[in-house]
Amino acid sequence: MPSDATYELNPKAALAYAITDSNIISPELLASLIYAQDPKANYQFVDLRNPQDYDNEHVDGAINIPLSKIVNINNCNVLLDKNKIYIFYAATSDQAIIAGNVIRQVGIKNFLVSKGDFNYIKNNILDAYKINSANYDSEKPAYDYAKVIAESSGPNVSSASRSSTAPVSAVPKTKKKESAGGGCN
Amino acid sequence: MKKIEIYIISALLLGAVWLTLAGKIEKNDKELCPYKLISQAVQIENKITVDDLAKKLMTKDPSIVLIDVRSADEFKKFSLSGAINIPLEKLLADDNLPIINQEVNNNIFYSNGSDKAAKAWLICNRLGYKNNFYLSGGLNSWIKDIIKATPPEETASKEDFELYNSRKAASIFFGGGTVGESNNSSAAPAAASSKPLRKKESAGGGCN
Repeated sequence: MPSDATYELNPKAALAYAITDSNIISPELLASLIYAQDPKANYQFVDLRNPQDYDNEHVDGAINIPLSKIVNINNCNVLLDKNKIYIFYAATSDQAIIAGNVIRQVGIKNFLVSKGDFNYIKNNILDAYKINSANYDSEKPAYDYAKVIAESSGPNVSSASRSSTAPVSAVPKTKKKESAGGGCN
Repeated sequence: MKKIEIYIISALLLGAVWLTLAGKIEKNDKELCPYKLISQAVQIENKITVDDLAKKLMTKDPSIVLIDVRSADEFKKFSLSGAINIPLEKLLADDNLPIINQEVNNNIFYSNGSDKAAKAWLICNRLGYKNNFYLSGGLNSWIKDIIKATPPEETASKEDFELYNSRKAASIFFGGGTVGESNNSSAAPAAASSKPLRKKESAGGGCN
């Protein structure tokens, strides 16, 4: 097995790399690369989805390398040209990030990873570039979680206190606490 | 000349021996090669959907350990019931190794989306650690699909309605929801107080 010799980064270095988010590009930069269409540019889009999805629709000029095939079984090499800058996108953002992390761990650096998955690229860049298109980060909280949980327990609390009187007023209190406690504070 | 050659050769030999020894110390024989790592990463079983997680938490599956890989600040503001906090930066800290390198529990990493949790999963699996999963869609999906579950269109399929019903039930379980509205007798407080108690237990189970 030609196993660990093929990693350039040891696990701790791999983690340090994973934390930095380097090589991950914003939707804004991605859009500019898609629209630039400079034939001399060395950018090469890589579609990591399965062949059926790729055949159905893909970014213009993208090549298809399904994620499962990105690393060669025999020598663990990644068949990428050193003179190009590859831009990965996948069906879900975590898959593109996994691809980027693994190939960086084996020592390849000439690549970028799209923050948005293919559906995001399609809906917000290919089909129509919208005012909010650049404002995308799947790790950004889409809600104030604690507030949502508090609100979703809200109606229950008020209706309970309406239904009966003395004992119930104590219940909402514990309930509220519980839902906060549900968050393991 | 010959002496010099012998010196050089013995020095090289010593170097080679040292390298193999040093390599062995660093070597973790469970570590996956890049090909195997990718082969694992494409398996759908690595991810758990918010629906499956809700079911597991509601049935108090004792094997589940929720690991929140976000920052301590984010964890403090909100986290899933029973979760422990291991910020991604501290994943390989010595204190955390017994948690991530084990074969008894099922560790589920989660973050706001899928990406940060996937990174934690990837590092653990490269090291050959067992029973690691990550939450597909993260907390954003948890809130959107479970807590704020919205009914499907009237024309939607039977499956969609079934999914909605189970999500609504989960929403009530986790958020409090609208249980109280249907029970206006004294049974309501009892039912309400028994639920959070169960929650607390499962929280304890997850943290241990």
